[in-house]
Amino acid sequence: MTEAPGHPVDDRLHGFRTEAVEATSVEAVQALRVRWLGRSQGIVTGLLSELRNVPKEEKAAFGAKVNALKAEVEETLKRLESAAEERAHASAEAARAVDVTLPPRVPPVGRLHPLTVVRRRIEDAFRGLGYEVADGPDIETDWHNFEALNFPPDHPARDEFDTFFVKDGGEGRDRLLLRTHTSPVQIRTMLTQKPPIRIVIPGRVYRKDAIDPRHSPVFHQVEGLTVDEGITFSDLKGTLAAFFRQLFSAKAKIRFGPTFFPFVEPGVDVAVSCVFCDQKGCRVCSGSGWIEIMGAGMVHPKVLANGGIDPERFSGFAFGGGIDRIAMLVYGIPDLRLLFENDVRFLSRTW
Amino acid sequence: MKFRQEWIASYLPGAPPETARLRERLTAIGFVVETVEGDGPRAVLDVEITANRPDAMNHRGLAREAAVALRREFHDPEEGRAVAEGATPAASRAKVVIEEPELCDRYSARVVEGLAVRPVGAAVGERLAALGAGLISSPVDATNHVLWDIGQPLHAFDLDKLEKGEDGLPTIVVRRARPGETLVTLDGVERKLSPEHLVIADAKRPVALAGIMGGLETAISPFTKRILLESAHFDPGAVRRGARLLGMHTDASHRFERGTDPEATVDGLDRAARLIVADGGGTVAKGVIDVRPRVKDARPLTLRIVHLHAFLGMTIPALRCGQILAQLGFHPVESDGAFRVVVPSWRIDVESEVDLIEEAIRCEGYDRLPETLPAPFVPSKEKRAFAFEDRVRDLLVAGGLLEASTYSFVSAEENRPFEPAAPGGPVLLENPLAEPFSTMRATPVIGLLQSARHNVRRAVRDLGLFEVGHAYGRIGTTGSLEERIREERRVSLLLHGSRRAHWSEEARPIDFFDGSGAVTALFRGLGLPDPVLAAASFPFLAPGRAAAVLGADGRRLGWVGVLAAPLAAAWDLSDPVVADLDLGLLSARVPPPPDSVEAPARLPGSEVDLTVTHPTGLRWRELESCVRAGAPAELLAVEAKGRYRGPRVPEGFVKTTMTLRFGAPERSLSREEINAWRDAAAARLLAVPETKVDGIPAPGA
Repeated sequence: MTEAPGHPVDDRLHGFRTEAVEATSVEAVQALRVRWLGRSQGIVTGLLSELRNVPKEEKAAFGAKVNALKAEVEETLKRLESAAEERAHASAEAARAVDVTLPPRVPPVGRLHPLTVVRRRIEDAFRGLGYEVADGPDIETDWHNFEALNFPPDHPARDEFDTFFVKDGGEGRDRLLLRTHTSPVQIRTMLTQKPPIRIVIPGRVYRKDAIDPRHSPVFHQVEGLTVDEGITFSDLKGTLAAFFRQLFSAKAKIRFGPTFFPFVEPGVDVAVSCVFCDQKGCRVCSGSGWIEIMGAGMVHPKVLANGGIDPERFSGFAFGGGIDRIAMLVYGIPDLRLLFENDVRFLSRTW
Repeated sequence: MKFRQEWIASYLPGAPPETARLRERLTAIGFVVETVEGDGPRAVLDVEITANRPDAMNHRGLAREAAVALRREFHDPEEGRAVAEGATPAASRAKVVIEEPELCDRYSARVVEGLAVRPVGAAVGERLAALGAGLISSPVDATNHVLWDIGQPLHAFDLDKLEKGEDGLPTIVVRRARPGETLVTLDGVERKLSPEHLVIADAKRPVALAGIMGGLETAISPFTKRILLESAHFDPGAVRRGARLLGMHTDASHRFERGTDPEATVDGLDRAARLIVADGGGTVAKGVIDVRPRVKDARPLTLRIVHLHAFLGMTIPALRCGQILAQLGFHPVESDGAFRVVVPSWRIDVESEVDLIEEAIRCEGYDRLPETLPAPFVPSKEKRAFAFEDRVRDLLVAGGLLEASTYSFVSAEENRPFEPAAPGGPVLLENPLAEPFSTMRATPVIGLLQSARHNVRRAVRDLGLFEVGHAYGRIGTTGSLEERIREERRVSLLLHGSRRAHWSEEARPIDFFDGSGAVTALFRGLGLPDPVLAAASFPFLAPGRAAAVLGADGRRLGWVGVLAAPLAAAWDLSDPVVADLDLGLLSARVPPPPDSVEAPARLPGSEVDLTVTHPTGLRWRELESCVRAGAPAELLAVEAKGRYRGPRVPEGFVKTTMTLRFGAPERSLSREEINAWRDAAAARLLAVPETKVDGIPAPGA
């Protein structure tokens, strides 16, 4: 052996370091491992087997150098392998990257009709006040819709209700018609339930009104009925005030004005303070600060009697208003027809 | 109804009220002043008078209310004023006979002779013109003035045109019209009459429609010299029926229909007679012909003050109650904590104690009413209508559908194809708004089709809509409502276009399975077993793409399918999928919430596929029941994995791959067990003629 300027193992180390710089792919690193650490042809393996031929006095130093080389090769390969894997993974991910700003695949979003949303809000408010929810048929008899509610036959008060009649619907009190208000359910409830009664009755009603932005031959009302011993007119006012405070705003006030409905006595028009302008005057309240929103009154003794309830012992109040009208108010819907047209662009809104 | 400020003020002694204050106070006590035109004495107020208050449909009546509202005195300046009469008794000039005392309980008449027909005086003319009444002549305008003044409708006949009776006197007969009689009314229209009409006749023929309008022939003309003034009290129902039959509505009928004051007839005659003579000269014959077959007794009522307070939930001092009642003409007498009153003859609306309570609180002011709440009450959980419908709505909304709301009536033509879907025969309206609204719908699907067309015409084609509503059917012609009409609660669905269009894939058009899937999802959402979908034929659905939706008990709960092509074309829609379910039947089948729940199996189950080649006519339901029949409890589900038709499948056959899912709660299943079960299932499938199972030799092969 001749002394060379550099120890041969050191030269190998330099060689490895140079090669390692080039090995960036998983495949190149793998090839590097085989070339240096391969079991039969590997350079490091070769150096180790050369140890046999090294003179005895140099064995220790040579061995130490080879071991140091092996350690560095192993260490470097491990590092290179993980770096190469990381790079491979990253490029695979890059290949799968998407333009996240592209339009998403949106499942269809369903919506409740605003009339349902408003009906539930109304029901919730009244259930909080201890009310049950009742319903009744759309096609009614004259007796339930009018006579039992103290509209005698041929009474001018019926003029207020332009009524649809069913063809071949019979005569007199059995005559079939489309209910003009939800009030017949008052009678149906009283005939089947003893006081105390507290019900709200949302439902569809019909009047022969031409279709325009404020009128529809089909619309929705919510009716309320309370019957018990000792129910007072003040209770009516307090109940409706509580209801409107829940529906609109804790600041809402209500105002009663006398009016006439045959099935209540006294009868009142209920106005609620305009919550849209705090009574300063706006388009919704026509500048008056008040919105006329309901009819109400103390149940007429004749109506109680028609419902099989003793008017001397029990008293009660009833009220009714338009769900469509409340929906229009609450959401600022400009045209009643929108509620029945079912334009998807309208139905898809949030309510 | 229009009122003149100055006219109201004529009944309120002292300075006339300010218009703004009058408006506010009248509104507060129940007479809503809708508009005011002009200002000062000439102001005209448009007041809404409710149907129960005909007594306030005139200036004196409204002034009486205004006096209470303004807390002022009320005074009728003409009360007690006499008429200057001549010497000739009216009874020697005309005669009145009431043949229908039930329909006319008072007919009063005066005769004025020797007058000239001239225009009415300026003051009266100005008043009437301000209310929009046309001016005709003094006698006619005078009667009109009385109507607006005190609410008594009058009519003036030309006495010389009334036919005489056998006694030689012009005769007024209040009777029913005879069959075939006619009358040309003041408006020039010939009216055909029947015994349903109450008429005023002379000795020969009808000369006026009682309470509605006079006849042309006997009307006042420029040449009239002698007048018979009529002032009567008619039955409201009789006038209303007569007016309705003829489609007429007049200022007179409006009041008579609502009820006039039977005590006001003579006062009305006197006021008119004074005006007529003042304008046209002449002499008022002596006395009033006043035929009154029946006199209604005065109506006493009692108002208990304790009851008033209990009813209102507030107190009104007895003194104030007394004032209010007195001012309104009730002549209250207080004793033993109650007011005894006599209802004034003009207050036909007041019938009972509660009406008196209303008078007190109305005039006291509703602003004073406190706000209280009734005693607490616990509502029953069961009494909650719409709870089930709301659950259905929420499930469908969660499934991405939009809730619609459509009219309950449709056109007869729209309804006809769907009649088999109705709960009974068609329910038609007698007086629909128009033909498109003539028929109560057989199913809400019709409204959804209208809505779909609306959207498609606006280029919105991808639709998922539902409506919860009623369907109507006629089931009988006599008996109770329930024996004649059947109303069912339904939920209807409509799908159209494609539902999940995205740029990354081709849009898939909606098909039958989207419909049956939506229905099945609803059933699952409600906790119902999956519906049985049975091939069925409905005239409104495409043949072969229609199914009856059956419950586990075989009861039909609804239907689902693709709309029949001709109908779809008529609606401008392409292959809409529609469904309709009976919510009454559905809700009765919904199981209650569980009262004990098993934990899901901890061990994963295993699955195995079977591919069957079978005739196209063999339905999935049959394949599935074949696999399930005799299968062990460990078979949890049978699912369709794929269907294949292609070159290697013979014509008329299809290949269906089924996935059988096995599992047991407490143990894991061995491959051998599963294979044995699979082979048993395959053997059952192979027993069906013409079937082959991949990988399993046919028996005997």
